[in-house]
Amino acid sequence: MKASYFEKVGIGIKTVIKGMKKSLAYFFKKPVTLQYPHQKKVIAERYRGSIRLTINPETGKHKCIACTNCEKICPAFAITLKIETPEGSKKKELKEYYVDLGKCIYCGLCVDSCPVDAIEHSKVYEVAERSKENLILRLDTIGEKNV
Amino acid sequence: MEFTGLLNTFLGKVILSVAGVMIVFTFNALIAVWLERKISGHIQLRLGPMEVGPHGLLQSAADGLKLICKEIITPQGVDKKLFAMAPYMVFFPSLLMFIVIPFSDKLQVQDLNIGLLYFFSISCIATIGIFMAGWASNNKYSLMGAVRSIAQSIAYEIPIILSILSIVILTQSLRLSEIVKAQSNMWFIVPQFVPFIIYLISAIAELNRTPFDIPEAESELVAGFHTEYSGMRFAIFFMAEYTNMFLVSAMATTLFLGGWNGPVLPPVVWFFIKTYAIVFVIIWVRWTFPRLRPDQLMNFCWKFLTPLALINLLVTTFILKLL
Repeated sequence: MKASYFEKVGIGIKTVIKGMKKSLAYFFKKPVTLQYPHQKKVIAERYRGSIRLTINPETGKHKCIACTNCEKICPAFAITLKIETPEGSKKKELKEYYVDLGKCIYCGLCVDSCPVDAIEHSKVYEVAERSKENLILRLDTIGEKNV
Repeated sequence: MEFTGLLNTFLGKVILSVAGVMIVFTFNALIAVWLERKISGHIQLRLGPMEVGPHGLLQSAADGLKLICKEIITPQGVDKKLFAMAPYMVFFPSLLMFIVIPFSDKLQVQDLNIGLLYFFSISCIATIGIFMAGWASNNKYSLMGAVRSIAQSIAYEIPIILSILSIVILTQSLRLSEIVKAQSNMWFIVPQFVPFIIYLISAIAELNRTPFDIPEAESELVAGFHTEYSGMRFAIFFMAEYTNMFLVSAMATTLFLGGWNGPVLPPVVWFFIKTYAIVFVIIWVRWTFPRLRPDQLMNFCWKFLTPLALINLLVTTFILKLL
């Protein structure tokens, strides 16, 4: 059945008041906006940020044994290792460790596959750069960007 | 001594009035836009502008500066003279309307004895400016917006005037200062609550604001009559809109909320508090309701507001005769 003229007016007034109440209630609620550059979100404990080499607290150096597991397992070919065997020694040594953040898919397989826990995820997520070359990070030298 | 002497001359008064009106106008253009953005933000659980100045207070000034710096583009195929004239046709009536607004018992540019009539007849001129803009733009969306604006304006003038007539009957005067003085004991919102609501709704429709913004409905008409405008010309339309919002609220304050009457605080402060309370309500309405369809808009005016205003006028006259 169709509502009569006066019923319609009644419904109209009711809904107008209801709507106005609702929006006023929202006006006094706390805004949810996070003002990004000034305020930053708390990052979850297991967040997979860009990878970095862990430091051995005793020696002050990285723990890498140059097994290249991470390089092999990386599905995006983001990790490149340069390895040398010093003369008079059978043990391989890590010379350079590169990770290309432009290729990295943050899957964490490298971290899982490392036998000595030499790499870990940092909590860095602001990795934007002005050129593609800057996204390739060398992790084994001092002055790493993402520590 | 010399200064007060200058004030008493005609020229001195003109200069002072123009300066005063321009100050109120600029202040309002900055504050009202900021208020609109802040209130809309908070209703949507956002913060609104925060970066420029404390809590974004200078955002409107920055936006204004940007618009001034922009190139004024005149598209091909427009009627150049009308196109250039239209923004000012919308803008100047709103400056002229300031003349009769009683900011306090002494602060009033000219206390005309037909102040109320003057205010509402001048406000109609802006519609011509809107139509000029729509016609000169040579754009179907602009023209559509302008046509809708005219239809809406004609429709909503009637409930506005009818609702105000009951106030005129109560005070027996069109002089705004007398209307304010008549409210020193009781604001007219108490005996005339229905006309107040009718006035507010029709005023929002006159302002072309949501939920009555069919002349510039962005999802249908791009931007309506100001589709082709950019830079400072657009800014003038924009400022005129917010000035009109202030003026309509100021008139509502004068007619229904007792104007500058109020205890403790100086009259001017009372006037601005009341006016911005109405501005808040208008903004609040905008961010609550969706847009009406044109036919709903016309139905609402002719089938509900106009009869209600007429009945109210009748009842007011009847009661006044009995008393």
